[in-house]
Amino acid sequence: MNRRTFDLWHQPEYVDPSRTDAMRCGPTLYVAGQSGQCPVTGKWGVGFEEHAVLTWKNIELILGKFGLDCAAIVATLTFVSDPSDWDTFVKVSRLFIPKGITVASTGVASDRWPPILLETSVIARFDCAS
Amino acid sequence: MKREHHDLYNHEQHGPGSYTDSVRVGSTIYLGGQCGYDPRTMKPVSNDFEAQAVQTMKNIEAILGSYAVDCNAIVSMTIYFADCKYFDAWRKVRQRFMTSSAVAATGYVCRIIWPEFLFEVTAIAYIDSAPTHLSMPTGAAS
Repeated sequence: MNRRTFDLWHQPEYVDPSRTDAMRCGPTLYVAGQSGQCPVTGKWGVGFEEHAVLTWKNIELILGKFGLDCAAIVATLTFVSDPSDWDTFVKVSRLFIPKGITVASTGVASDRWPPILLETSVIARFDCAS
Repeated sequence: MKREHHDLYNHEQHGPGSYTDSVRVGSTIYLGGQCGYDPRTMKPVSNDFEAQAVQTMKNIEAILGSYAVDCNAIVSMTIYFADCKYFDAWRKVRQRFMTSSAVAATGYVCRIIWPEFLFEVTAIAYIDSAPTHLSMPTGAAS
């Protein structure tokens, strides 16, 4: 089965060169952990909510490169630095995941490398996309 | 392909949301994070780790049961512990529920978003998976 990868931008040298933002294998797309940095300007969001919005925009952009949207997401795994931000993350997520699309979500609190406030990885499926 | 989802608890009671305990697409079931909560109250069953671990596996068993499979269908599992001291107790509990199959398991120590829970588990199950374990050929590891 062929693999196809995609990266939002050229990865800095300190990142493992084999790391990729997304990997498609058959009907499944694995999106690696995304965070609140604009891939065009390199600027980080200000505050958790903006980090969450940028994170979802990055995910949306990656999915779009494969012809998908957030309705194809089946599972998410999110790490937040501060557990009290979880409700904000859920609120922002609902702006991107269409109503009626159910997602097997997992949330964990874990310190991220500054200035990252959250990191979300996603599994999407081509065979259940809207 | 149709997306199917089953929940232990009516999450809609807490307002519109996309969270679900599990999504099935084709032969694959993706489980959302599970903890040792009573599905009727969403509260932890106990402050004791082993009791939470047993309840977590019961919850997973119930979710998978709604797809007519048991815990032996799990192929991958990630466990987030609030403390590494829980690892041995977790392994013993898991083996009680997963009797005929191995699992690709990964464990982390981190903080749990809801601190009353001592750990959280996420898993992927495969409905057609037969429990076959391939051992390393003799001498291959040397």
